[in-house]
Amino acid sequence: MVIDLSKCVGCNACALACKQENATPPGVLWSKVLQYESGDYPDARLHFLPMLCMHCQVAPCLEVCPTGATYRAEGGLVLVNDDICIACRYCIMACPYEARSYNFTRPHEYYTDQGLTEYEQVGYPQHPKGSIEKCTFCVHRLKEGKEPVCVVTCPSQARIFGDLDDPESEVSKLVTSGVARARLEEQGTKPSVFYIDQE
Amino acid sequence: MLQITGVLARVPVVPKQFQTCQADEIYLELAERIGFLYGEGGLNDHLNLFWKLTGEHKLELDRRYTTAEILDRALKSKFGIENGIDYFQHASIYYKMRSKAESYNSFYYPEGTTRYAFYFEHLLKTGDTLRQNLSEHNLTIPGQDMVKVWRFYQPIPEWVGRPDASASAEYDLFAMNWSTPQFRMHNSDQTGNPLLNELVDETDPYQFVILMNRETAARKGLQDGDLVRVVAYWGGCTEGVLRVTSLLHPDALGVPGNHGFKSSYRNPATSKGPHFNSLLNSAEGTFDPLHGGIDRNPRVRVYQVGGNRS
Repeated sequence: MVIDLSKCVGCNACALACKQENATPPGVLWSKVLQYESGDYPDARLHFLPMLCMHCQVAPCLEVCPTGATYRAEGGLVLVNDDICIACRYCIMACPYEARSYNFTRPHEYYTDQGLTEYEQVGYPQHPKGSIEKCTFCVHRLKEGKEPVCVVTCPSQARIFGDLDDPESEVSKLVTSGVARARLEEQGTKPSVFYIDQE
Repeated sequence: MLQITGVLARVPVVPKQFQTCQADEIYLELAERIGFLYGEGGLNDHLNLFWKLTGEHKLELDRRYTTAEILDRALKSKFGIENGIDYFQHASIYYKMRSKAESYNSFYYPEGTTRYAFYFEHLLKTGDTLRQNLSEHNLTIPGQDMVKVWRFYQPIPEWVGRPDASASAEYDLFAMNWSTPQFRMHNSDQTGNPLLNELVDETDPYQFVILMNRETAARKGLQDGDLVRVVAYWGGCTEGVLRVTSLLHPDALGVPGNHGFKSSYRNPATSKGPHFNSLLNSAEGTFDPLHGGIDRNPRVRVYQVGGNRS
């Protein structure tokens, strides 16, 4: 995935769409847009930084997992098998992008004291107490030939999704040309998410 | 040149929850119970005019419709959207390209002519009508100096001074409010949406706070995270946590979004954050008699009332 920071307007539509697509419970954000500022008035500027799992090719979370619950799936995705995860949370500590979180409690409703909505009742079994939470690149959508929901939702079309193994893909060209670059390259994790910087 | 025209409509994506009711349904229910929904001159009749409902889409005057049914007919009749509300089950916006000619004012006038309003002569006529009507019933606009009121009804611009001109120098900042992507005009109870609240809490340091220029804060001895009170020149006030930033003009004070609702009958989530509207004065005589507008940027003073919350 390539994210063009010059197009991101910080609306967090990607984050909200992610929550709706994946029914993540309160306190869990697989995708989010951070904000920070630089410079002094009147030359100050607001910046947006969309964050999600980088699906690293050299994934520290995968290397520290003692049970193999974190695994490399088809297409290079980094996923978690909840059935064999022992919730040691080494992966959370290892991720330099802080892309993972942990369900300390059984998911509760968003509307306090109102009970689970029908949508929450259907979605929350995927997020049991003690599970590790992270972006899957919407693997269920990829299997259907669709792009991740954050990509199709972005109103400014700041996200480009494609096959990094295909040299002719738009994402490959942006990466190999140096237009798009990874964050925290010095960590050596070889992320699969790249950013085009603001001009 | 704007060459796209469109219609934005939203349909519920989940069933109504917890005895909630769409506001328009309440109006329809009230109209029926009070007795002005049906018949000529009733609400259905007015809706036919308002939405330009014609032919098969016209509402029958003796039948109760749902909001969805009315919207469906409006989309088909007024906007020509063939599938009506069904279209918006899968899309949020309907748009079509306009021709270049349609983008120019002259398109709407006889060929070779156009007209741009330079003088607002209609204001003169409106003022004459209003003056006549008020005089006929021996009325004035409460709280307003009528001599000043009539000065608004003229076709040329005239400078009108700020209502806070006599405020003391300690009210040294101008309060500002702006819509944020998540909380715009409190449409659809956005402020009460717990998902939006969570998103903003987790990602946006510039909401649910009171924003002040970094140098201005330093001059006032205030720090990021201080609990402060903002008092408008006329007495209205609100409180909140201060966020210092370089993004704001040194003379401005920012209270973004639409937060701090006070009614205990509202969703509790809406009560979080400072309440900008508390800084606005809507007393009789303070608003613009022509538009009913109020001063949206009152002069304010700010001082610390509590410890640092950062």
